[in-house]
Amino acid sequence: MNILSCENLTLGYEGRPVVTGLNFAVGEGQYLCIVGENGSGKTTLMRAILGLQSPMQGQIITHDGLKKEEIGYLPQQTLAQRDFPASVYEVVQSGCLNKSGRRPFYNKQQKARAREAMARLGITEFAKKCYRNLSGGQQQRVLLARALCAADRVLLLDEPASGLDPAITEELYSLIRALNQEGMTILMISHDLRAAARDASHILHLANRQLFFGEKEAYLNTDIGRLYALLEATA
Amino acid sequence: MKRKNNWMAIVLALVLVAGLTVGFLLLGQGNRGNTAVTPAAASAFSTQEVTAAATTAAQQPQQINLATPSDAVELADPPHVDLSRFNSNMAFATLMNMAVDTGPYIGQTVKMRGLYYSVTFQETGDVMHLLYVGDEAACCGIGLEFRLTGNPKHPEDYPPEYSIVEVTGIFGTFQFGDQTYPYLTANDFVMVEEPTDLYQRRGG
Amino acid sequence: MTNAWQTLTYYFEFPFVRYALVVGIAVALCTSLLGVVLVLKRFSYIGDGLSHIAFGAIALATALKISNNMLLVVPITAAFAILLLMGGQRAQIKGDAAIAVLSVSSLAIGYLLLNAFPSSTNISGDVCTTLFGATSILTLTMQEVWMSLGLSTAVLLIFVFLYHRIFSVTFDEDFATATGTSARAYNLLLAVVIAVVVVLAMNLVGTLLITALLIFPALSAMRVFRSFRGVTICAAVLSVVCALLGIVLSILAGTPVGATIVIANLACFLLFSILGLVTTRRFA
Repeated sequence: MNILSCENLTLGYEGRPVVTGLNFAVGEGQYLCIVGENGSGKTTLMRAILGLQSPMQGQIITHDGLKKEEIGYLPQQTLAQRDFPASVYEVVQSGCLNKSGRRPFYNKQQKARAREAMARLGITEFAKKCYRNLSGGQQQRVLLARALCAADRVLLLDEPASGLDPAITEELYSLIRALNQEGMTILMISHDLRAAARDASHILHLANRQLFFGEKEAYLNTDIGRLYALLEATA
Repeated sequence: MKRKNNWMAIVLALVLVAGLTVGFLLLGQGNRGNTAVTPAAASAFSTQEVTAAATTAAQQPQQINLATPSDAVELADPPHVDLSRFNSNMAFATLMNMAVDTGPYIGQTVKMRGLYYSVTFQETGDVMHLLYVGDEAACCGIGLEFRLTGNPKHPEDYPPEYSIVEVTGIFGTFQFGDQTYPYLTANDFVMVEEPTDLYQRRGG
Repeated sequence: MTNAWQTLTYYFEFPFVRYALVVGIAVALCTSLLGVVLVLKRFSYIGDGLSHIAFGAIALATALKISNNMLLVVPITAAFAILLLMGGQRAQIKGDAAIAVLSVSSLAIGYLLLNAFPSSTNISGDVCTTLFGATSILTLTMQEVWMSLGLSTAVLLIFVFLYHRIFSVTFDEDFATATGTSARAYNLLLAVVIAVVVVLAMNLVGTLLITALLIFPALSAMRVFRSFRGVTICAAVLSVVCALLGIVLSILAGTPVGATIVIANLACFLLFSILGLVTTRRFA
C-alpha cells in the first residue's frame, strides 16, 4: 500500500516554480529512483517531501501513519561545518534522536542501534575519531549510518555515491539493496542509471516537470529511458 | 508534516518572553547606574562637577540635623573596616555596599580615605562635610559624610577643599525622606600627602 | 604573596565579594555553554550585537522614565535575538550585516538618548558601568544575586536536558527537521535564552566585553578537544576558572573586573592554541 503520494505538486523558490505537475505515489517497500539532469528539481522534490520546503501548489500526502520520526535522510552535501567538533559516534547517535520522544537521554536500545548501524557500515573503528578528519567516503558512511539510525520505514538518499570511488560506491549500493530487501522503502536521487536499472523498482524522471513515472521495466522501454541510458553511458 | 508547528513555536516564544519579563520585574532587577547616596549626589571626579553637584544640592531645601556630640567618640584600634588600604575599586564597591546595607556596620569603627569637599546649604547656612571615593577609572564615585566632634569651625578646623584626607570614625545613619544615609562620627582627620596628580592610583 | 592572601581573606569576609564570585561563576557557566552553540552556528558576533541592542533599550527606558528598565530590555533583546537567529543557517549572510547595522545603531541611539534625557548627574559613569561593568559585579543587590542564580540554573538545566537535541540541531539543521526534531522551535528557544544570558552577563563584564565570555572558552576548547561533549565540558570549566581568576585578580590589583576576566580568557585561548598545535593527534 502507498505510504507517500504527491498530487499536482508544484515546487519553487520565491514565486518561481522549479518543477511542476508532479503526480506519483510510492508504495511501501518499493525502491524509487529519481533521475534527471542537474537543476531538474530532484533535490527540491526531496526537500519538499521531507518538509524542508513548502509546496507552491498541490500537496504531499503521507499514508499509513507514516511519521517524520520514521524517516531517515542522507543529504547531498555534508552540512557539517569545517571546524565542527563531533566524534563519529556522536554524529551517528544523533540519528536516533527521533526515537527519543520526550526523553532527554538515549536509552540502551538507541545506543545499541547506533552501534549496529556503525558495524553495518564498517565504521566502528572510527567511533571516537573526529568527523572532520575522515575522508569523503568515510564521512558518507557515517552519515549513512546516521540515516539508518533514523530510518524505520523510509530512507531518502540524495546522490549517496557522489564523489566516491567505484569500489565504495558498489558497497553502498549493495547495502541499500539489502535494506530494501529487508522491507525499507527507498527513495534515491541518483545519476547512476546502471545502478538504478539494477536495483530500483520504480523510476521517476524529472525535467522541471514529470517526464515519466512508473515501473523500471516500463521506463527502460520508453524513448526517454533509452535516450537517457545512452547519454549516461557515454557521459 | 504540518505547518502548525510554526505558530506553536511563535506562541511559545511569546509566552517565554512575557514570563521572563514578568519574572525580571517581580524580582525587581533593573535601575542600574549611580544611586545617589547623599543629598549632594556627588558623582564626578573633576572638581568642576563636584562643585556643580554641591551647588545643586545646596539649593534644595534641607531639614537634616547636622549636629554632632561635642564629646569625643571612642574608636576601636585597629578599625573594624579599614578602607584606606583598599584599591579604589574595592574601596568604592565596599562603600557602596555599606551605604545600601547599613545594618551590620552601625557602631563599627570605619577608616576611610577620600577627597574632602564641603556642601553649604543656602537656607540654613549648615555645612556638610564629605569624603569622595571614586573607582579606578574615576567614572563612578560615592561621597560619605563625616561629622567632627568638638564643635569645629568651618573652614579653619577642616581640611582644604579637594585635598586627600583620612578619617576614622563610628559608622551611623540618619533618615531623610524615605532614604537612609550613612555618616561617620570622627574626632579628627589626617592629611595625606597631597598627590600632584588627582588621578594617581592608590595601591591595594 | 602571603600579603595578597591575607588581603584576599579579608576581602572574602565581605558578603558582596562572595556574591560576586558566585554570580560570576554562574554567569560564566551559562555564557560558555551557549557560546559553544553560537560559535558552531557561526553566530559569534551575535552576543555583541544583542548587548548593544540591550544598551539601547536601557537608554530608551531611561529616556521614557520607566522605573524598571527590564520591562523594555528583556522583550526588545529577545525580539531581536529571535529576528537574527530565526533565519537559521540560510540567513547567515544577511544576518551578519543585520547584526552590524542593529548593533551600531543601538549604541549610537542609546548614547544620544542618555545625553538628551539624563537621569543622573553622571551620564558617563552610567555609560561606563553599562559598557564596561567596572565594579557592577561588586555592587549587586540581593535581588540581583537571586535573579542571576535562578536564571543561570534554568539555562544550565535547559542545556543539560536538551543537550542531544541542541547537538543535532547545531550539527545539521536540515537532517534534524527532516527526521522530526523541530529545528525552528529550538532556534527560537536558543534565541530567548541568549537574550536572557546577555542581559545577565552585562552585569559581569559590561556590554562591550560579552562576546569574550561567549566565544573565548568555546574557541579554546575547540583547539584541543574533538568531540562535542569534550568541547562543551572543557568550555564550561575554562570559563568558570577564568572568571574566578579574573575576579580575584581584579579585586587584588584594582583592575576593572570585566577586562581582567577577558584577559584571563585570552591567556587560556593562547595556551590552548599552543597545546592544540603540539598535540594534534591526541584527541582526534
